[in-house]
Amino acid sequence: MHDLAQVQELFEAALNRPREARREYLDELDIEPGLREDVWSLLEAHAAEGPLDQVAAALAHVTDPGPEGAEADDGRSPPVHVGPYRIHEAVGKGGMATVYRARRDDDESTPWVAVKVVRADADSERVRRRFMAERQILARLDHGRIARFLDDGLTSDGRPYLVTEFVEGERLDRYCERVAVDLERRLTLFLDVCEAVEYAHGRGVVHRDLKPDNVLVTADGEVRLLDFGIAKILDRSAFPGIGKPTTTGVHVLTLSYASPEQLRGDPITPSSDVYQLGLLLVRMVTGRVPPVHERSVEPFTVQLAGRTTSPSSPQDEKRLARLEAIITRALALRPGSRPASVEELRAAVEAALADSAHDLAPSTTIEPGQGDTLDLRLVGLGLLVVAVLIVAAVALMG
Amino acid sequence: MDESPDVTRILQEAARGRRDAVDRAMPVIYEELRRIAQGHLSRERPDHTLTTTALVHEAYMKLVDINQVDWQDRAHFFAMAARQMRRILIDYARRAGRAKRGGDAVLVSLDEATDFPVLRSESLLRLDEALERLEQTNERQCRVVECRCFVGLSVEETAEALDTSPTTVKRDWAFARAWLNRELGGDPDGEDA
Repeated sequence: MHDLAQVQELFEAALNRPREARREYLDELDIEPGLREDVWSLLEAHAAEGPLDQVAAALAHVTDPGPEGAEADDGRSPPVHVGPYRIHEAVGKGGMATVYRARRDDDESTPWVAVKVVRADADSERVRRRFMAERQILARLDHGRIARFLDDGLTSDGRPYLVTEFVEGERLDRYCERVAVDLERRLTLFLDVCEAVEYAHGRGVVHRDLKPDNVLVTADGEVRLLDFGIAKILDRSAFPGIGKPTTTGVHVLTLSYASPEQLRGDPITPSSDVYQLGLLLVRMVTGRVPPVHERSVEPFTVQLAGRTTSPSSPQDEKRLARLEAIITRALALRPGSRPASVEELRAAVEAALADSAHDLAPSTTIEPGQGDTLDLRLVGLGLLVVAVLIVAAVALMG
Repeated sequence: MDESPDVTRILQEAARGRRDAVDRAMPVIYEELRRIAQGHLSRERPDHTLTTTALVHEAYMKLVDINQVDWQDRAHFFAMAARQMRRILIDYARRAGRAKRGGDAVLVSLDEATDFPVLRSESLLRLDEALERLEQTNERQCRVVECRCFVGLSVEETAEALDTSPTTVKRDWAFARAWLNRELGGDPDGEDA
């Protein structure tokens, strides 16, 4: 057994080099062969998906591989064919499926598509039902800012797959840091995201997993909303045969972007998307999201001024102040205190962007005389009790 | 109204550097998490999934008066809960293993936890053993894995929970993940269906 600190040091040094240069780098070091192979085997383990990843995915439903996890092009061995599609590379993975970049047959002239395949280790009746639901949801959605559904089928070993348009783009948050550096551009992008979510809501679909990983920006600066993998259809009467209604919204969630009702396991309404859009906007403007333990406290007030990752003009300062108020409302613990719809949220942000003279009075949505604004501390305390009771109630429901 | 130790106060004491406060908080957190987990598992809910993230959050809301602790205390709670979550899941896995071999009728409800097949696999027990070995050489890396895997904390949240920087967490995670994948990959059998 080698000194782990030394092994780690070499491992990191090698990792900082391009993948194809790592072996050579190790070979040229004057170290004993055993140590070299030790480090090499770790580099191989790093590049592939291993048993730990499978346990972790099953355990905590870690759907967010984090900024370091986007190494899907790193040496895993993907299937060669899925249906008529030839797999090019893995581009993402979740708790229940892997997404590949692929092309129909070997025809170089056809566009890239994204093929999402149920993982062999995650295949179950439940996952299949979920997949069916996603298929039906995607087939309902036809919008320029939502990755389009193209095809579906079964792999040779009988696992379901879905095919959508492949979106060549950059994660929204990275795009903001790299390209959309000024506040105005960021807000415009956010409005585009809102538009797509609003459309989905109009079709009875709640996304439930809005986070930077699921919003890409193309080279042309166009927003694309991805991954309706845990989305849910609200108006079930219009979509027969999709399975039982869910008593709880907690399926797979990413703690960083989970809404309070998702954490509690309450039924999910479009308001959960409003909340997640609020978090997304904080991330776009400040480069980070408030951790769950900070935003679980009522009253929670969003602070943007002085925390932006974009340069702020005097006009931006005014906008930020308005955005703070808007997002604070969007991040209310109780869905009823948030903007009533994405449309309302979008209109408020639009007004802040336009810096229009008339203020968006909160009294238009909060009935005057209601306890809502009377004593927030009391409300917060009550909410906690309610939250605990709801958890208990949901648990009791058969 | 509640005779169990006050976790809110314990967190405040722990923040002032009282090591024994942490030791006192652990069993309370363990018991609450176990109780909640048992409650979820023993009820038939056709479309529910147990997530450790949701469990820990539920325990947090029950145990801690969130208006009286600052964000650092809260972060520490998540770090402690991560360790206890690991223990609980390992306990389940052990009992599931025993039940499979024909003993232990106590945990009938485990059969209903179909959404949590990992509890019935050997891989969880092997992960636990590997983590023990990792802990002996690098304790912090073990804690990072617990926060990431057993509670699903992000890099930033893990950094706050463990009083360290996101950069350190990223490095620890990259190395520990590779190390554990290698350790666990050695023996291909031992998995059950």
